[in-house]
Amino acid sequence: MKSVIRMLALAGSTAGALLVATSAGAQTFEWKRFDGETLNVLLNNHPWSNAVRDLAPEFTAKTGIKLRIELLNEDPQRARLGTLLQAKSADIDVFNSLQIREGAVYSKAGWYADLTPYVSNHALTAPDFNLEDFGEGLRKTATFGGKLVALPINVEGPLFYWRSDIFAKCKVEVPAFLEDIPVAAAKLKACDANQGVWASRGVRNAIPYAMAGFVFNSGGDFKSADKKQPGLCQPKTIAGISMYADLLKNYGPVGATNHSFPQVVELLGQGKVAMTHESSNEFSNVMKYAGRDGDLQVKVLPKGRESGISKPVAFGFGLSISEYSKKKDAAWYFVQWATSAEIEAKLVAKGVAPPRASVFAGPAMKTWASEKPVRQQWVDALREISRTGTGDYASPTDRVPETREIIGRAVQEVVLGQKTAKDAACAADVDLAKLQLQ
Amino acid sequence: MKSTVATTPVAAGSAAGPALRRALGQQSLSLAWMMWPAVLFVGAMIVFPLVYAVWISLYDASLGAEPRFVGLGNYLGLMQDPEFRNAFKVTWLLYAAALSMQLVLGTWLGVVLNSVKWARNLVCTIAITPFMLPPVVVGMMAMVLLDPSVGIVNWIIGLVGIPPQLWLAHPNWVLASVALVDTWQWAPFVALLVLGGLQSLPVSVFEAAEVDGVIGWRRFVFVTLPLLGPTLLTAAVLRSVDLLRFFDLVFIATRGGPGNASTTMNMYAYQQGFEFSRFGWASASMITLSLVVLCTVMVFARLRRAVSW
Amino acid sequence: MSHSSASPLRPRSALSLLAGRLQVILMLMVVLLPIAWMLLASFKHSVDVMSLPPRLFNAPTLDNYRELFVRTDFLHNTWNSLVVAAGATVLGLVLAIPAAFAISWHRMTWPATLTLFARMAPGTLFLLPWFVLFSQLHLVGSYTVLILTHSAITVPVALWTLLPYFDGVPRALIESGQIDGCRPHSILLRIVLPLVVPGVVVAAILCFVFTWNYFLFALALSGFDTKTAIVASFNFVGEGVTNWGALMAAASMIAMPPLVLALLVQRRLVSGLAVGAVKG
Repeated sequence: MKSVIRMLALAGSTAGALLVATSAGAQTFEWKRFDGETLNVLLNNHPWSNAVRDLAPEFTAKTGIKLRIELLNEDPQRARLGTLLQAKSADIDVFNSLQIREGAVYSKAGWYADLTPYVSNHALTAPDFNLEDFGEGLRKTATFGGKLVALPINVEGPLFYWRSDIFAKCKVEVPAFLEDIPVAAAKLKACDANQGVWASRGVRNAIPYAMAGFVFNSGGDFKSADKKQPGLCQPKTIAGISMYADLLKNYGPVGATNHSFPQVVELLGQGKVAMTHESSNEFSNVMKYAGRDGDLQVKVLPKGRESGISKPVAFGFGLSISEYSKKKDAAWYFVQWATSAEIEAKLVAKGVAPPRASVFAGPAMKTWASEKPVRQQWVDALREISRTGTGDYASPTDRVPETREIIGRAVQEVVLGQKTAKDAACAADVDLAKLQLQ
Repeated sequence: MKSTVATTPVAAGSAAGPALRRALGQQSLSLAWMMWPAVLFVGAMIVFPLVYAVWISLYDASLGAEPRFVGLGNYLGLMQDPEFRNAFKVTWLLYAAALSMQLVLGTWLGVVLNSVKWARNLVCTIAITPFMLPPVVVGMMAMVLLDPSVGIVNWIIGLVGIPPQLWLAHPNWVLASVALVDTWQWAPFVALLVLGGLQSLPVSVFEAAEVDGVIGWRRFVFVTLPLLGPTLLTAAVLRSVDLLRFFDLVFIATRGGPGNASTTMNMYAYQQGFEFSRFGWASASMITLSLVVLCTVMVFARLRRAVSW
Repeated sequence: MSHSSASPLRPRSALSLLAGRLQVILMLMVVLLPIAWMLLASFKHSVDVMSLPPRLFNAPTLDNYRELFVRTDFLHNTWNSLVVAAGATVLGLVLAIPAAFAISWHRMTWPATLTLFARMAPGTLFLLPWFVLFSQLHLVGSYTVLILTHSAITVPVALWTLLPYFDGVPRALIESGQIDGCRPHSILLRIVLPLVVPGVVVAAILCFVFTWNYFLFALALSGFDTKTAIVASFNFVGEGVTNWGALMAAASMIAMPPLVLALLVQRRLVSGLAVGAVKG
């Protein structure tokens, strides 16, 4: 008799559970499936990484998975990542990397785990994940050889920052087109000799990032017309290079060729320059300086008057699972959580632009943006570059880091007055072509 | 210690020459076995990486590509590569400038410290602090303090009317600036060694020089310096191995720039290996650099033997 | 008779005395200014660190140190650094002292040059092979591997630092010890070692500092629990998060232990030198 009752009770509770399960639907995705696991995450120093590290306890509470997050500056992170993955070490489960830079090479080396099966696996993926929420361009950048190697974690790109008060004081019109920028620079310099006018990246491998917009908006490209050869030696590309280099040479700060984003941010934040073309990531940093949230404005780099083109640089870092990880399934839990709409909404307040369209249009973004007008400008600018931007500003080759060095060196030669823009650009094409031989 | 020498009954025996002692049936002292632990340890640690690096350097190996055996092809390519040749030149220029500055200033500093009578401990401790700092931190400070636009050094010299200098941003003078920063950090290290060397110099020599009328500068040049020979050589060797492999400062503060005016061989190898993932080429660069350092150290080792005995 | 100095016997003129003092002060200023800047910066907000004209104290804040110790694992990292540096120093000295004795006595050069091999190759050459090797041995992430790899640096440094001091020990002294019937290790420990204490102190300082400040090996070989302070200090500069204040705080913290150590042994060094003037 007792056993019958027990059996009935068991059946009853099972039926009840099933009922609850099917009716609840999304809520019953088993977040605790990998309870007790520990994951090793290697991230590079980035607003996103810092914000996620702060939110890590939430993940552990939700899934029971412990996180060991390592944050390292970009170069040491790349060195450590390279060393460990080359040795096929299982010591890293999740890492972030820049697909537009090293994606092709890492992919060929087989370091990325293929995320495609995970995304369509309903047992392992929360129902509200929604892959299409990520912009198509971003998804394409993270796909190599048909495999999805990473999920985008942010959107970023250089934006045009300017001091509205200085422009107003000198009665100079804010540049509406690309060609207006040098004109405005000249007028600002004439107006106040003590006010710095322009600052931007001058370190060799950092130049292409800030300069690409100038090249594209001038109608130029880093590739030839058939997209098969390096294309620096084209007239419109040379025009763009020339404009960027001349701005640095004539209106830039002393020692510009050693400047990367820290120096540019410092100059802009301290009020020592009137305008710059610098990363959207630096927005929250610049705003920390006294007075900047009142007089600084931001927009997408103006389009070319002649070309009518506005093709800004935009890309995102990607979060990937190591192919050598022994905990790929648990790692996938972290990856999807970190890129979920809910978390991205929280990161908005920390200055991280979300790659998900829904979050961009969502309430968190609206609230944060409404607090200050310049924030709304930033959001609008980012929305635009997500739509129209490209992450490809190299000559046709997989060896992207080297293209940055070659292109950057050419521009430095122009800034230092060692070569004309045409000579530097055409000489660079020769070097860039050598990269294609492999 | 002196009491040991004075009261030991063996004093008589020690006065006897080696030949006499051997005649008395005593073996000359063999201590060779004492050095094997150190030699074997270091050898064991480095043999695998060196063999590995040499082996990889014989291949055209990059990330994502199939390795292809090229024998000495990488080395030959390096000899002809303008970037590597530039790195070679940069390394030597920087080495010469920095080593000479550090030896000269370090010796001066050691002499100064030696003459300090008051608060010697404190002064000496403060004096040696620079090389206690991590090179990475020194690099960052150099980058910040010497920035032509927002750096404090230019602000300070501006107070006395000197126009702002480019320092690390000057294509021609960046190496001098880098050497200057490195000297700030390492001259105290040389000073520490020189101080120790000076402290152990026999007073009798100075007394004799005094009697001979050799004083001041002449005594320093003709008496003190030669006696400091071994110490200075040690300092030179220890600095040489680091200066020839110069990396941290240029990596942090100038990124090898402007252009490639401060790209040393070590930085070149790092770039090739860790940024461009060209492992074969990078290994060949590293092996070449190691050979350069080896030759230099061997020269100094010969010198040491000549100077000590 | 006291220890020698550069100018022991003639009374110094007032002018040369003043010149000497001025030189010392000039030197101290040049040495201290950047370090003082670093220390002061660690108490400023990031945005104030590089503002010009520089102010001595903007609005001093402990935020940077708070960030260092509360938000990150820095204290634990510092402990790791201590363990690794102490371990590598001890191992380095234990191996190098007998070796220096032997090499100096036998007037050899090749062993010293050989140990220097480890310092001739760029550090990056060792990273990958060592990682592969030690992960096979399952030692990656342990204190052991960190101490072993850093000892490859400290042994040559200690050896080359000690050699001039051993060279300076009179051979007669050693021979007399042998005649006395002392075994070699006893000669080393009882006769020679007390004479080279200054050298040992200097070597110890150098070993400790070199290991403490070296990040490359720890970058690849340390695990989450054994990460050293110098590797952790890399967290503070990156795109969007250039945290000068915290970086300077980390730098100040990293500089502390070697400085304290130096201060502690400085007395020993100087007093040891005063006593050990054997050759007088």
